[in-house]
Amino acid sequence: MTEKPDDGAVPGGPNPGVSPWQTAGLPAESAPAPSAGPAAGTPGDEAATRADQPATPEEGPDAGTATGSDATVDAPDTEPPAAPTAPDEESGLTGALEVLRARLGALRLPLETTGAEAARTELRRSTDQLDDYLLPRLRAQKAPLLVVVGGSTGAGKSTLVNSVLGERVTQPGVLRPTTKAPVLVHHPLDARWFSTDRVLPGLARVTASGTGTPTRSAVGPAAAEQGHGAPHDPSRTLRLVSSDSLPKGLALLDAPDIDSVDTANRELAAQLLGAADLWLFVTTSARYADAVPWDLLNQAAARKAQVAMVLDRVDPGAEATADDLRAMMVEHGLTDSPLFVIPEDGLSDDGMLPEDAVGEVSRWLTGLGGDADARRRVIAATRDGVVDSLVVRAGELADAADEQRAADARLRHVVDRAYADAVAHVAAATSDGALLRGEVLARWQDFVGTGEFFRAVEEGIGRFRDAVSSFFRGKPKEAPQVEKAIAHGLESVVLDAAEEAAERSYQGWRGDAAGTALLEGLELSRTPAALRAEVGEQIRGWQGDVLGLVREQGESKRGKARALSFGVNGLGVALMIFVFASTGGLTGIEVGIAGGSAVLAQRLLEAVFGEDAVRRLAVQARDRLRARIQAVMDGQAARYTAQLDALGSAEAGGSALRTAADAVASAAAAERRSRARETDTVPAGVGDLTESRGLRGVRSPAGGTGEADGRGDLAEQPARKGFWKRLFGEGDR
Amino acid sequence: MSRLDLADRTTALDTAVRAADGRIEPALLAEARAVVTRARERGGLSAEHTVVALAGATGSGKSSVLNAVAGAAIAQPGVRRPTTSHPMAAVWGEGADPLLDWLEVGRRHHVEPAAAEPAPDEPPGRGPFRRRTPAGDTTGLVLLDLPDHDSIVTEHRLRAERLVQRADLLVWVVDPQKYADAALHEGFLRPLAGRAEVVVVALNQADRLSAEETSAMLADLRRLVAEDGLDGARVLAVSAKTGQGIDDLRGLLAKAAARREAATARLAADERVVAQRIVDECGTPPPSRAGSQATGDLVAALEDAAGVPTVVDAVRVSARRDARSATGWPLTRWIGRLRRDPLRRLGLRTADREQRAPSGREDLVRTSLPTARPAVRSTAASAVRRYVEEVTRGVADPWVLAARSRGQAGIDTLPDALDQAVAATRVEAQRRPVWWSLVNVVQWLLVAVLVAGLLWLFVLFGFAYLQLPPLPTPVLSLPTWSGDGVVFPGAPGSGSGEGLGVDPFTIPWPTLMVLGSVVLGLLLALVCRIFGALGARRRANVARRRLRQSVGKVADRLVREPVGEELARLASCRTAATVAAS
Repeated sequence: MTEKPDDGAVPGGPNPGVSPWQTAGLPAESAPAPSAGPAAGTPGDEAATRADQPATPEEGPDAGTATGSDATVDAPDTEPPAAPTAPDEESGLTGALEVLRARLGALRLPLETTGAEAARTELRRSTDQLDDYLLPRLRAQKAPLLVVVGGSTGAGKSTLVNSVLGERVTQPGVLRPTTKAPVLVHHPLDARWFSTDRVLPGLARVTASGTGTPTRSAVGPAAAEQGHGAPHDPSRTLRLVSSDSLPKGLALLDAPDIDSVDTANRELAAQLLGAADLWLFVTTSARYADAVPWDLLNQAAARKAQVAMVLDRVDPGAEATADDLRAMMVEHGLTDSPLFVIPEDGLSDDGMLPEDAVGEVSRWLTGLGGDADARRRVIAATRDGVVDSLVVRAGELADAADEQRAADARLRHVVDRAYADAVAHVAAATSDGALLRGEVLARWQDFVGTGEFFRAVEEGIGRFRDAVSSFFRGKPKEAPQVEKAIAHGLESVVLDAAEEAAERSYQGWRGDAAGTALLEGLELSRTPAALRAEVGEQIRGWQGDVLGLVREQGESKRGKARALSFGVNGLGVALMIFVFASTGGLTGIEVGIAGGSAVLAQRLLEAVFGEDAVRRLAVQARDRLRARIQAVMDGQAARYTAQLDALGSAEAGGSALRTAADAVASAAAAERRSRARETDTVPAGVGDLTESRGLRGVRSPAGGTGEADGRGDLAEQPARKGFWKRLFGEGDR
Repeated sequence: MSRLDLADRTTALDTAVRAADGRIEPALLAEARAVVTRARERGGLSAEHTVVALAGATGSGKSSVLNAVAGAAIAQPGVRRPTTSHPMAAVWGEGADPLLDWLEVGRRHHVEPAAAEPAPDEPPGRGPFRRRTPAGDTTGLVLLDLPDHDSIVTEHRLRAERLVQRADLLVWVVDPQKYADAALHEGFLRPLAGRAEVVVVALNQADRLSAEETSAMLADLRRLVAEDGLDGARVLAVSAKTGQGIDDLRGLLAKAAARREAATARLAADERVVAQRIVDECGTPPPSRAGSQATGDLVAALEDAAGVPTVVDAVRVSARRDARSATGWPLTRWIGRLRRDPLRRLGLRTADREQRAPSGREDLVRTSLPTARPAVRSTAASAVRRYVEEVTRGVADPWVLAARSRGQAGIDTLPDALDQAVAATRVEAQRRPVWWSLVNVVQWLLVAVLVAGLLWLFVLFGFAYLQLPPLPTPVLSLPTWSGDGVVFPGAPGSGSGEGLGVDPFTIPWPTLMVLGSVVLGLLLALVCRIFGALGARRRANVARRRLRQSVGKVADRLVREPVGEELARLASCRTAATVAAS
């Protein structure tokens, strides 16, 4: 490995060239720790972390030298002496989560099923949380603890951050919402953890010193992608500020508000809170009973996120609110969270809260930053909570995906049934001679001649008359008339069936929330104007088929002469009549008015072709008709199903997701067991604050004013005890 | 602003809602109904009172503002959130109890002009309650202190929502921390869009801010309120603590109470907004000209489906056949009778029908018109679809669907109705044409002449056969042309016509009778046949016209009227909603 050269690197100032490759280099940097630090970590840990960083093997040496100066400084100081987790389980968990991430990324919820909107939001949140928090956290265990300062608009988040740091890093104001671009404050030596897209890859980075002019720095590829359009969209940038007031290993993120009218702000705030190791939730005495923050806090409690509350802007005389808030926290499952109370005093000239007002918060943060072990436990607790909730949410999303597939199948079923009914309807209308009773029959009777007396007379003179009339009128013989009548009747039946099926499908979809969203106007409920032409073409095509069948049959054998004597057209018409007159089962039993005529047609055909051949011909002709109608209806049904195909909702389905979630759950369980085994052997971490100037108010006397003391006794001290107890206790279990 | 009386507007909206029942989005309909109910209920209650609701987030200081405006400690502001859980009312003047019952406000406090002193338990420095407003000005004011709308106690929100709906004037109390909350802007102000005149936004706790901050915040607040669709709503800064701006607010409320218009204005504004949405839902009215064209197409298609062309053809053929049998050469008429009578085959002969059904009840008879059920039904259904589509062009989708279902409800009865319409239509002539009888008489006379001639010839033949001396037979001598002039061969003494080579043309009368009557009869039959054909065509046209009328009636009854009703309903909904939205 390449640790030795790193150790020999000359310690210097912070490396000016921040390369995007630093992400890849991070684990390599941490590698010196075992060799140079007082206690050696398990080598397997490195291997595991490395394995999670695809670029590491090639880039290791470069990255190591590039950031060597950082490594030499921080490695002995702040890296905990040993990695507490078993490498295999850890990498197993990471791998399982990556699979889950891929599954979630591939999941589409295009249909508007009930709860789809919520599921979509949940999906976005889950992927965001995986990208922003969980995967980065697992890949880099030693990254600083990220404390996100969140809360309502006007609660004084920015003022609090400024006051704690003792410098103006963010811009508080009276106009709401104030903070639009989130500000991340970190120790100068922790810059490398945040300047890349390791965490919050969706946000472009802007570095700034204090409140000076922001300058864009080199950012990761995701930020470059993000940069299209409006690179300085304030709600999609993250301002990085380094401050040596902050203890190393701790970073503060001033988030936008959670409840202002600015929707982008709210979404970003939710995303940032999802990326937090620890929430510092700021509320005020006027606001602490608002519904919106408590929704978020309930979520946090549900997934065991670590929360500390700050009750800000407490007017004199409103101290009772602290008790009230404490009671509400207990009620909402935040029993163990610490509560800090900051009175509403006048701000100093530079817009800071008085030093002793923020003292408690500062001390608490400092304690957290100095105690690597405590930090690790906070991180682990939040991470475990997130993993658990992700497994649950993945299950819910899998349900949503199943719901999508079910909706897709339901919608398709509606369409399929409507058009299958249409085909059946046409089939019923064209059997039993029903279609023949009208025009077709009249024409057929004209064609085969009329009964009574004139049948005989007309046979003689009819030929002459036909010849004369066709000479004058230019009309051919009668057969095409029958064909036309058949085509007309058939066309109207098919058209009507198609129209009705379209309307029924429309009704079916309209009654379904998922379907309604796909219908735009009434267009789908109407058949296209071209359908009539298409149907006509198919029917003419079928008639051509029938004539072709007759011709083929006639040419084949002895029937030829006889067939020719009657004319192919005439026999074709006879066959059509026979097809329409016979029942679906083709039993040869003809019913109804059409019976007589069809018997004539049958006799005619049988005389020419023979009985078996007629039957076969009829079956063939019927099959072809059915096939052509089926083709028409399929084309119509595709107008509907194309909507679904375009969305690809048929491929949705939660089974893969569920498998991935199960894998994550078992990997997490294994990882937790191994962690519990190893925790006993790990010595308590030693805090070191030499790098930090110290937070403002940290050195003010612990019991400051009587007021502060009283509050501390009242709310904070027992809470803090519980908090630590929970942190330490839970890790051991 | 609103020239229209509130009652008229309410009636119009009610009409629109009734007409639109089941045709437009249920949520909008329910909202419109609620507005109508509210307008009626509020209209029945005291018009002398103006209900002003102080609404706002928890902790914004609604109760403090109420106290400041009332000049007395009526409501108890608290520090614990949420504070006010039940609404309370401060009432100036008498007679507001029914109104408050309707508002379901139980906690009432009568503010007497004299009682507007600072309550004794009021802590000093709570704010100077100045009472410069004369008491008479605020008589009729009912000031409500609402529960908050954004705390975790959801019942509060529900109570507040109810009262926000029913109040005449809304004063939204916001504070510097909360003035941009989504819960306020998205949950409450946006639904009030377009009703700027009923909304006042009071930025409380202005004492916490400097003057520039206050004006900047007011500008920002105005911007947000305008974005919510309430451009023009009154926005002012107040401080319940220092009394800043309270006088303005009180003056504004007193003025509203004195004008006694707030109730009407609020309800009218609500009705206008909801009516406008109904108008939008109705879509554009269909072009009136589309109707006649579509009707023509519909009737033509239904005629086709009903087999009218077949009947008309049959009428023509039968009429020709009748004419022929009435005016044809009597000796060959019987041949024509052997031809089928298409009209009789269809069962449309009047005589047949009268045999089959009691007179006057021809509708009991079915034709034996070849009814191709599937084809007829299909053709009719397609025609109805096209018709509905044509006449509903541009109409909003739900109405189209409604019209479509109304139009198609009759499709299953259409084939029968059409058949009966055809059966009940008289397609034959009432009586036979006079000339048929005349020609008939002539034809029979000619036959008589023929018979007489034949008899005569037979007698002559008998005489000749029996070698009897020939009877004197009159001869018709036709004048012939010879070289000298007109010669009458029959003239006595001219001999047998030898000499000039021209046979004198003489025809014996009996022969002439036979030949002449045959030729004349056939000629007459031929001519009559032509006239008969013309007459048959005219008859067919008459039949076609009558059948078209009958079919048109069926179309009217089963298709056009239901669809027309639906469209009329749409039109009335639209008109009423437009009136209500004016």
